[in-house]
Order: sequence, then structure tokens, then C-alpha cells
Amino acid sequence: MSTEIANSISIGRIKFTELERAIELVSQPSIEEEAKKTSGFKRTESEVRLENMAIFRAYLDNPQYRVYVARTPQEKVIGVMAVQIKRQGFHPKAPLCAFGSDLAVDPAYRRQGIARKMFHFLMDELRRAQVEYFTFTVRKDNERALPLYLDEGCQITEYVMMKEL
Amino acid sequence: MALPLPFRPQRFREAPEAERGRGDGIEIRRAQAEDVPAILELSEEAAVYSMSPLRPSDPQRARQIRRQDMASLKFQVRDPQMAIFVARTPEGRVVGEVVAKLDGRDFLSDQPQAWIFELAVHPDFWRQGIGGRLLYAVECAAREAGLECVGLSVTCANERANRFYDSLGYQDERRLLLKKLTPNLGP
Repeated sequence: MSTEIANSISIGRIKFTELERAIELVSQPSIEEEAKKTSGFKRTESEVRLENMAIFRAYLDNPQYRVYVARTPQEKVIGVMAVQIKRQGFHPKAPLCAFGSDLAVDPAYRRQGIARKMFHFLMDELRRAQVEYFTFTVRKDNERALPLYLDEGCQITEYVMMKEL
Repeated sequence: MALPLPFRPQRFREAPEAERGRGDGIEIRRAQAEDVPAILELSEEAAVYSMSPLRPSDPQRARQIRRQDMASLKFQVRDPQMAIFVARTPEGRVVGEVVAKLDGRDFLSDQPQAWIFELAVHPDFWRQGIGGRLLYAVECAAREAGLECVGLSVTCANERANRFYDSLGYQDERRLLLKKLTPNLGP
């Protein structure tokens, strides 16, 4: 596994001008393929794109959300991740918890340790923000993502189940 | 602000006799305002079973949090978008409850679905098929509302609950992962 690119990338908060590229990454076909495996997926590609646009636009306005991007030395955005930080429960001293919603890497730059580097960066950011727990869902058969997260010390805590009527 | 919709008790069919198991005389019915305190009590008790071993927490605190989460229950029992059912003994004691919403959406597929927040049966009444009948009531309400899916999430440490949902045709679709962040240690 080549880690040269992973070492050269820089990660930081998203700039407004990078929004469109970020949407492109989270709407890319390989991610949509994963989503389509979810039963009942009926949206078209443009619908998904528009919705992602609306969601990410809302993220930028909401201080609870943080969107980070990974850039090559040429400032090309090749990865994006979004996380929501909030207290779990209504108590003012309830632990701060972060909910991950997206982590996407450009297919041309996969298998080079970029997602892992982004994950490490995110963990450092969350620690700095005094977050105690980071939680997110992954499809149970996502063979690329699940091993990475388990290797990074994440543990499975709940099963999200469904029944078709 | 939307005006509150008139309260219409939704009809539901009782589970077929063969699927009912024991639990003679237990009646499943839509929850009413008078059932709220009993639902809260069962729900608090059940909160302890839902605790994840990955997040050490005081059972007392878990109960308190559950009570806060359920603060709007007295309004929800009148909400036609909620499906809240209770199991009652002939003496009128509430021994089981299920709280679900009918206007949920799966966040990936955006498919409308019912979402079960919680289901609890008093331990003295376990293994009598009451949980299955409560779930059946929610599934009927969901079907009546035109939904094709019912979703829920269950702590993986709760093996009883996992076997229960598995036996009733629920399949696990996604995993919820958790990472504990310790301040001065590496990832």
C-alpha cells in the first residue's frame, strides 16, 4: 500500500468553494451502489445529488456540524467527512457525542490510507472538542469500511434491524 | 403551527390465535392517557436492559435519562402518527408497551418506514408471547398507514432481544459503531 499520497494530503474545514466537489464525492456512483443495496432505494442519481447538496449546505450553516476535506498539495479535494457534535440527552452536563454521517474518498485515491488518515485527524479534532464518544452506522456487508473502523478501535454496539411488511 | 389532528383510534387486528402463545386474558390495545404512568415505569425498567456495556453508566442515571426522553409521551398517545400499544391484564394492569412512530424515513433510501423506539414487557410476563403481539399491533398499524418497512435498533449485548427480533423476521441491516475517545492516548 502506497502511503505517499496519504502523507502529502492536508486536512481541514471545508471552504464554501469546495462544496460542489464535496457533493460530487459523497454522491459518487460507488457509494450510491452501496446505498442501493439498502432495501427500498428508489431515488434517481440527480435526486440524490440535489438532496446531498441541500444537506451539506445546511451543515455549513449549523455550528453543530463540522465538514472536513482532504486536499492534495495541488489543493484538489479527494476526501470529505461530516460529523455532528451534540450532547447526548438533555442534561447540560450530558457527555458530548459525535455522530458521523459521511466519509468518502475519491475512487482514484482509494487503498492508499487516506480514509485512515482522515479518521485519525477527525479523532484528534473530536478529542480537542472534549467529545467522549464517536458513533456512526455502517452497512453490515460494507467490506471496505467495516474492517477499517474495527481496526481503529471502534466497537459494534447496536444492530439496526428492519422487517419488510 | 399545524393544528392538532382529531384523535382517531386506529383499528388493528389481533395476532392469529396460533401466534399468540400463552398470556391468557392479556389484551393488547392502543395506549390511552391513563396508561402513560405505567408505560413510563416499564420503559424505565427496560432502559437498564438497553444499556450498552461499552458505555458504563449508572442504572439510576439511565432511568432518569429515559424518563426525560419520554417526557412527551402524554402528547404522543394522542398523536395519530404514533403507534403506541399496551398489554393489559384483565385487572387493568399494564404489563407491556410498545412505542413506535409511523412517519419515519430511512436516512439512506429515504423510504418511509415505521420506527420502533422501544418495546418492553414486565419480566413476570416474559415468555408468554406478549412482545410478539405488541410488535404485531405496530406492524398492522404500519401496514394500515401504507408503510412497507418497520425498523428498530437493538443493543447487541441484549441477546434475548436479538433472538426475539430475529425470530419475528427482523434482519440486521446496519451496525452502529462506537469509539470511545480517551483524552491523552493515541487513536
